[in-house]
Amino acid sequence: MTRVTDARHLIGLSFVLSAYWVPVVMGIAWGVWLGGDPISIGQGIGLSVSQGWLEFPIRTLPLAPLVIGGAGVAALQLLRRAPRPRTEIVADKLAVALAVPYVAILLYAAAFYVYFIIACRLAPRGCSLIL
Amino acid sequence: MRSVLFVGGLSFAIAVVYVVAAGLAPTGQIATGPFANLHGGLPAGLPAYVPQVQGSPGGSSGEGRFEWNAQTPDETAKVLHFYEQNIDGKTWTVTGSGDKTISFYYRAAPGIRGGVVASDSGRSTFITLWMTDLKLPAGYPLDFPSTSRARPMGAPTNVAGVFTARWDVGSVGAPGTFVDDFAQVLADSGWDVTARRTTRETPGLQCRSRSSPLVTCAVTTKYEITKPSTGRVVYDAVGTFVATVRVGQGADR
Repeated sequence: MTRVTDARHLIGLSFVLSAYWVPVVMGIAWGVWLGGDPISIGQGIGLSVSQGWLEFPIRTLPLAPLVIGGAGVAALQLLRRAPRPRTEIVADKLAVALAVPYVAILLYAAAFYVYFIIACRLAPRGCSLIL
Repeated sequence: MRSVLFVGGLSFAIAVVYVVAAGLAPTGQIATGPFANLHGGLPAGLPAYVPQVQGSPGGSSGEGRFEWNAQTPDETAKVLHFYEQNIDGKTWTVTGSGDKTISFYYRAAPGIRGGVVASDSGRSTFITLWMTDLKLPAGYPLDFPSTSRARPMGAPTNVAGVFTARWDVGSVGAPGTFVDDFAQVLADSGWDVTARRTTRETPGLQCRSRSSPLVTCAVTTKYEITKPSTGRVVYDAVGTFVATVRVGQGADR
């Protein structure tokens, strides 16, 4: 029987990958809602995945700790350089490689939001983002 | 191979749980009938008008609604005549037709009301073909029309034969525009508008059926804030114009 600690590298990679699945799962849900046929589902996925990059981190923000945590542990394991099975090394490298663009997009969105707040505070009459 | 399946399955499961828990998926009933499987086209039995001006806006759908817009160099009367002749009577029942609008309902579910609006914009005609599931109860007058801006708010009530429905008519633009548009639709659909209130904040109207003069209607509008602002930098108050529509015998009293 496989222990959880034995599958640590796979669980970490799963955490990182889960954020990327979110637009796909949302697209499937919308496609099913629009009738459930393959064309509707395909269109739903296409529309969901092609949404703006600013929306992606906002939609998946609650998953960010999982992504960063999974990638962080994987990075630490890679730094140890202890002999390990090849599968574990590949999984950890993949986890880090997939987390880097996600964190970059997250930082881009955070920078945009901080810039907006500062610009609003400095504006003579203030401003607000109407949702 | 087992590792790939493990990672794929677990990550997908986490995403599914998250999307459901965060409410990122549509929560209403699965689209059926005229709203499902459109793939960019129009619902069955409703043809697109040609010729169109290049760059016409196209279609869009939401929960329980559909709208298609186009622009044509043809005259308003020609557009409406085309739809009078070509709306499939097996799927839709046309209840009214006039100078600017056509009204119809979906035969399989009469609570789904729709119409065609042809607006003359000088050198061209702007066409709006729309339908909305107004969630109307049995017995609601089949010939009482609606407009493209109306979204149902809750289920209509029926007290002694007078139906009262609340419609969200949008957060942008004056409610007077809705009342003006609705007055035109009513006139085109066999209802006489007997009174108009044109006050800026709460415009409304009253009407009477030409075919059954005892059946009348009363429409009032007002702005309602459905969610106050939390007062932070982001002004997130949500409000909308709400139309209260009463129809039935003596509804205008």
